[in-house]
Amino acid sequence: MLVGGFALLLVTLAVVLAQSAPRSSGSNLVPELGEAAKLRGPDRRCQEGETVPADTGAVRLLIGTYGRPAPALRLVVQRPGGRIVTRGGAPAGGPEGRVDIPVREVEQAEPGVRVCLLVGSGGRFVLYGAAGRVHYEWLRPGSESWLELLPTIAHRFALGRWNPLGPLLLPALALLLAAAWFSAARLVLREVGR
Amino acid sequence: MTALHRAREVAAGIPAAGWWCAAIALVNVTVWAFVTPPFHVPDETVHVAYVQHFAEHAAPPDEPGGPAFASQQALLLDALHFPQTVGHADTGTIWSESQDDTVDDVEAGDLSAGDGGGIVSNSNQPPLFYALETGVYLATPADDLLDRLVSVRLVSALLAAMTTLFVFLFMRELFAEAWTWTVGALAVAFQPVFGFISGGVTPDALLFTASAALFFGLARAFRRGLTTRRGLGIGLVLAVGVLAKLNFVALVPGALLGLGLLVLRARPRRPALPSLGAAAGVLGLAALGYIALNRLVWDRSAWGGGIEAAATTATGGPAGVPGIGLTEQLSYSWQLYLPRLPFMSDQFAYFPPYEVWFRGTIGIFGWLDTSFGVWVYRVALALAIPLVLLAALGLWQRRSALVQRWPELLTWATMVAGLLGSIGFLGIRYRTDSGFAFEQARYLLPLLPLYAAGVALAALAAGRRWGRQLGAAIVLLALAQGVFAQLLVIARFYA
Repeated sequence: MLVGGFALLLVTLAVVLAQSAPRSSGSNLVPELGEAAKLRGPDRRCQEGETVPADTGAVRLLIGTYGRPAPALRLVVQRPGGRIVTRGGAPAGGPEGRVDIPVREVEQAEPGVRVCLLVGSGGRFVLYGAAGRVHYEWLRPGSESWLELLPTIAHRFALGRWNPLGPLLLPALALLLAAAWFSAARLVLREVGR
Repeated sequence: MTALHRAREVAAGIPAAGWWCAAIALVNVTVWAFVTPPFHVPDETVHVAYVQHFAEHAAPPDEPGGPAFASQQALLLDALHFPQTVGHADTGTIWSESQDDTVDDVEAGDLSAGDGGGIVSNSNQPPLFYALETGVYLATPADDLLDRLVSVRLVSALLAAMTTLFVFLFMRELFAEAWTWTVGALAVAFQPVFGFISGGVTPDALLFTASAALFFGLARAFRRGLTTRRGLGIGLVLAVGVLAKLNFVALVPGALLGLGLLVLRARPRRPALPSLGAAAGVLGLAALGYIALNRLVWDRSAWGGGIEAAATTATGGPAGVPGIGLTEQLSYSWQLYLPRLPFMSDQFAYFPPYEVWFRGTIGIFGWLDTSFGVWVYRVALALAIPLVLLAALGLWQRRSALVQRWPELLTWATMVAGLLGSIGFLGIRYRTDSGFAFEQARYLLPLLPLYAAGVALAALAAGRRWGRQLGAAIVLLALAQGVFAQLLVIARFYA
């Protein structure tokens, strides 16, 4: 029974880790506390001092349109000199809420850039964030499973802490946990399974 | 016989399975200590500040109007983007090399570790846990706060292992079926909220250890008699608990009642009295020592402000909260744990037994900003209900033994009532003061030994044929709950 239970657990884990979805490459750390900007299309909203993280292929925004279909959206990211880092757009007609705007892929992080959102005609339009700054969540290109994202997670996991193992810290902890599972299973078999 | 020889003898008397359960808990909580980003265990910021101030000044932080954090910690929190990430489940921790370089620069900077010390939410807590952590903080070779944070978190993990061992020993006193000891202790070892909290810098870790040791000490005394040595042990545990975190005070009346019942039950009664005196004496000495330190060395009120504030609040004094009558207090406390009765005023916009205690026990992490999807809690409820019913059946099956053991049962009930009552007492005042909810599932973790006993009762109620299988299945469920909780936290902060 214990073996069957473990097998079921491993299958469940595999199913969860194989789930594919768009994954985050970072955000501008602005919380979505409320309305950050109210526009009436066509209009534009620019934000200075942003960073586009490495491996970015889209941006996710929270928008409000008072129940109407969303207007066409275009996003342009520029360096201080005006050179375009990336750009992209989403057609009109989508629902309000979270909107993903695909952009040309950015491989290296681009700090200190200007992010402009161009809103097509379509009435009142709200962007969310805090203290007048819009929350931007940057997404990695395409869709990935947790397993595909594992090297990236291991890299992020290694940062901002005491860590002599670098990106190997996460696999090392996984092994440690597996050892605890193995010990627990052995103990249960010995003490409970008699 | 030397003390060392005696300790070896005691350790040798503990079944190997107990040590294995403790070791498994140590590994699991160590993983939690790394999985949770720095400062993302509830209130860890102020607990680290307390440890740092204690290490630098050998005193609790107690400066009115002073900064909460030393420069080193304050700048590190900023570099880690802690203010932007805490409470915002859609924002991970630092992800880029450039952010990591900023953290390294702060760590390498010559920043003061001793210019904090302002009064914060935990300043009125006793210093035993912080003193313990201070020793490790100072013994860590590096000066970096992040390096030291790992060391002090690992002390908490070690305390979690001790808690699990005491739970195992408590189970050994309660149940004749040896396999239930392992089942109960492993259910605790993999309990994700216990692992998450114990993987951080928080006096809760020592509170849980002291509570588990108290349950074990009393259970042993109820079965084998109250000897002077056991009295001393229980007194020591009471002293450690009271000096670890003030929440432990809620368990003391029940423990004292238990000690009193043990003396009353003893035949002849007179030889048991010195044991009671030993327990009370150790607790009294610890309390006197703490009062003396507060008054003579740290120049603050006798109990550091904690118990005084609670007493003033209770009597509606100057710092108290006016307008909380007994009826409202009882109504609030009742609804905290049970469905509202028709004549009661509605105290909550939600159903605390489910929203706070059940969901919180299944798992809410970070500073209460990381939770599973709604469906997970529903599935967990569907699994938990039969187990709770089975545990109740197990109790019913043992009703004659329970009647015989009424003094012990009364002791546990009083300890539980003390803890639940104290949460209700503090909760309504905190809500009136701040407008925020006070209750968190971790406040119930001092009752982990009873949680383990409930697990064992459920398994035993399944009968001779299925009991062991159900026990193994419960351990597997706990293990699954633990690993999915760790994945949830990893997804929240790093994906």
